[in-house]
Amino acid sequence: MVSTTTSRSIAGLSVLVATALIAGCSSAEDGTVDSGSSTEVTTTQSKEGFPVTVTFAPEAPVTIEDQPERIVSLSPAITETLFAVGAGDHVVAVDEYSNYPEDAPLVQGLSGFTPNVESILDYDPDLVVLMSADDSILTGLDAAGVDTLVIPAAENLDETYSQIEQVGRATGFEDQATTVVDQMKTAIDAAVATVPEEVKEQGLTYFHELGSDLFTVSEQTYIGQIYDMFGLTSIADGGDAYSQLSNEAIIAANPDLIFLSDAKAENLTAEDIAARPGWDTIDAVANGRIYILDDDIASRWGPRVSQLVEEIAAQLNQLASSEAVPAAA
Amino acid sequence: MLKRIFLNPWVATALSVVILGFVVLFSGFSGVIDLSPTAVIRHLSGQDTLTPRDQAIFFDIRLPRIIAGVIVGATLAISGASYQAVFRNPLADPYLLGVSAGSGLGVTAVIVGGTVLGFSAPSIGVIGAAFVGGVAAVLATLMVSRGVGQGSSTTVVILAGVAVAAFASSIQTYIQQRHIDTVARVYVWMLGNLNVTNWMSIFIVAVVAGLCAAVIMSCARLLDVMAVGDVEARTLGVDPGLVRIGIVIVATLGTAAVVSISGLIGFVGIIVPHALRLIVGPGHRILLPLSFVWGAIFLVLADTAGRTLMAPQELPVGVVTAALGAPFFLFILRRTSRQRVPKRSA
Amino acid sequence: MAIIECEDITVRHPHAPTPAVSGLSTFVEQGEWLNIVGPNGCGKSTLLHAFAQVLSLESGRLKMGEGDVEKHFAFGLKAAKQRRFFARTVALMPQNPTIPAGLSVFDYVLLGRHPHSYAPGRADDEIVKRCLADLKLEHFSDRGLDELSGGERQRVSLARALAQEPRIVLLDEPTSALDIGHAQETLELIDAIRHRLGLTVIAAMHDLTLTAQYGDRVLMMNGGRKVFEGTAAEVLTAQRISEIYDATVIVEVIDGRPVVIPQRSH
Repeated sequence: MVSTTTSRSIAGLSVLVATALIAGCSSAEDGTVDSGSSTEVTTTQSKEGFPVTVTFAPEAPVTIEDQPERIVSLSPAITETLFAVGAGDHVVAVDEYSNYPEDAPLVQGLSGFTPNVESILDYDPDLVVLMSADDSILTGLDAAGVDTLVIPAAENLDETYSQIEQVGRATGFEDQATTVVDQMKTAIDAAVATVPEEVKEQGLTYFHELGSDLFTVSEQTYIGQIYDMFGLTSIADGGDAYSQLSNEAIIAANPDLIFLSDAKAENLTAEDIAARPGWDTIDAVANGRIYILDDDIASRWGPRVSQLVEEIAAQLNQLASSEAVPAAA
Repeated sequence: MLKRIFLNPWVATALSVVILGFVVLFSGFSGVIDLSPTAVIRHLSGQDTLTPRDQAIFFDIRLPRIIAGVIVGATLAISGASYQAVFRNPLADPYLLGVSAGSGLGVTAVIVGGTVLGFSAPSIGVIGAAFVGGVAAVLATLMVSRGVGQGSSTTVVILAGVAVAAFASSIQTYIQQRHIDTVARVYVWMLGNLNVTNWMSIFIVAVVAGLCAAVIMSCARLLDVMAVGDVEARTLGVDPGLVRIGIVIVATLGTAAVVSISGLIGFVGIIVPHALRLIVGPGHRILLPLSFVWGAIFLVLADTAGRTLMAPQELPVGVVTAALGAPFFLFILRRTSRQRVPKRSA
Repeated sequence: MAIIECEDITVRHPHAPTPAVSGLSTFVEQGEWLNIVGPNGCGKSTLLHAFAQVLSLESGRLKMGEGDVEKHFAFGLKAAKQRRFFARTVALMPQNPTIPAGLSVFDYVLLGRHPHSYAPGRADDEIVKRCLADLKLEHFSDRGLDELSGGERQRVSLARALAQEPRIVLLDEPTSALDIGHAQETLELIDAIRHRLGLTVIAAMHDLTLTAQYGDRVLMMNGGRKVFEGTAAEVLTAQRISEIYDATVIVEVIDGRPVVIPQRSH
């Protein structure tokens, strides 16, 4: 009995090994065939400055041989960046969450979370941008000879600038990228400057709502750092980067300002917030200081970060110009 | 008479393997991108008929995925069948004693640990953590049930498994809640996917799973005897406690190995053995090898459906198996309320 | 030479406060039929399970077949061989056999061949057919176990025990689910097989009159202890039955065998 099952297993394994060997041989051949055809395709369009090497921390550096002509982006933030630096014409498909700019070729069902490798390859890309390193996808794309860039969400403003510049480099629009970054810096500096010092030095506290389950941010997060530029302190400061608070905790902390980044996703208005039980006792609610941010702008660390900063600055300026300037919390 | 021939374990297994071969070919030629079967076959025989991209699609993307599907499906099905035998419970599946919760916890710990320490957890780390977590959870279950004093009572062991799974699950949920930015990555892992491209992992898992399957198949007769209950099994010369622990360990190793590369794919371990039992009866000499082969067929078909039906979206294979599993349960319920004519195994 | 010898055995169920059998000694000759009687809960089943090595002894000495039964079998290949050897010597027909769903009668009885052949072959098939024929179950061979009546199931369970080709057969209330006709038929069959094969039979019996008609000796138990032992005529007296069973009976002796007649007390 045992001998028959063992021989069956051996037979099965041999099939596996044989198939693996076939596969291995094919992949090895791949290398030699590949370089032949790819140079064939791109010699006519050899752009100056290429090949380039770009780095997106914490990933390893990647070398791009030639200017990408067909880009697939599975990262909403990078989609915005690509269009901002002028590479929009080279973008052939973007994931279902890349809703900005409107003329981005959004494909329903194309997902950055569970990518279908063949669907991606169906667009015949020469560059694919991903938000996280998924080994199997990367190996698949690599085997097909497609360049990949893994660009995780930026952790701070400087990283955003660096990412925009690197994306520009990778796509052959380096100059434009530099311009975008300069514009952002100027806009941000200007926005921050418009807010009077008294407001910034008041030590105002805020509650930034990520979702109606009361998840919020601390100063360690990207947006926390932006608020910090205005001298604002999160009521969750000192804790985890992302933490879930309870109603009582928020009421007890009594924030001066409330920012919503889930208004679009969860269909919330300032009235809805004010109507939450016990919340009418919160300073921010009592003084009408509930500010709605655009969901996407407040969660994508791409070129529109400057818009976010401007929005926040505008709200704070309204605050400053209104009669009742709140006392320090 | 014809039935008698088809019910011979050798004939049935051989036929099933042939069907598996066709399914593998079918799956290899199915996908979002059209590959001409003749071109593939010509390429295999040495001619250079495929573009590099198409070569990559067939050999580096589809083929490892299909083979992973074969290994995972086969192992889950045969583990499920053996669990159902030693626990005499039709709802027993390979995850019964906590493998799923344990692997989930292991994967979460590695992914979160990675972000805390500042790097992106590599696949190897995730695979290793899933395996270790799964095995550790089952060992904990066995120890807990021994600690209670009834290491061989089926009810106690199952309840211990429930407790260990709940505990592991709660720790995992807590960790995730504290690191909510990792939830997506863990969730995607848990949905299960056969997107494996690392041939070395496939090979290692194949060896482990294959060995486990071979051991289980050699115990076919023991599993038949287990059907009459612990007391009577003992009078027939079998120590049911030993058989139970032995099978649990072997089936768990196989399950943990495949879970480590594929995530948690459910229902295969229940649907396949049950469907086969309805057709060929409860004799394990035929049920085990058929479960092995048809588990592979089922999962490869489910995965093919998942990556082609709703393109460009990819339906996680665990979703497909679950969608098929629910109506199947209803079907089983209906049939068990009617009488069945058993088949005599040859 | 006694094929079963037990000396002062005590058997306790796991975690039970009191033992189910205590200080019991008896012996059984090869080829003998010993009936064990006693009120509900007296320890009949427990004693049989101890003989079958399903329960281990707390103390005392037990010899079944060839050698002493030392302890509950442990790990290891040697223990496995011991277990299989024991199963070729002793077979148990339980009171409430487990009926696995979907199994045919033939395959169920074939399980009884496990102590002999790990992979059953044609010889085993023949033995199963013979056991089914002995118990007049040939026509049930391909039927499912779930389709049988209670009485038919008991006979199938007995067939499985006989398929083990044991030297000792332990029967736990073999006729409790059978009507009087089938009970007689089954006991006749057992007696015939016993004589043909030289089997030793130990039966825990419910019906005292049937007990008296079949078997060589009777062992009466109460509260886990042996209270009387001897021939049926010696043990089954009105006085003893009323004392142990707390029942009112008249005992008539017909053809040397006691017939127990319950009396209504007015």
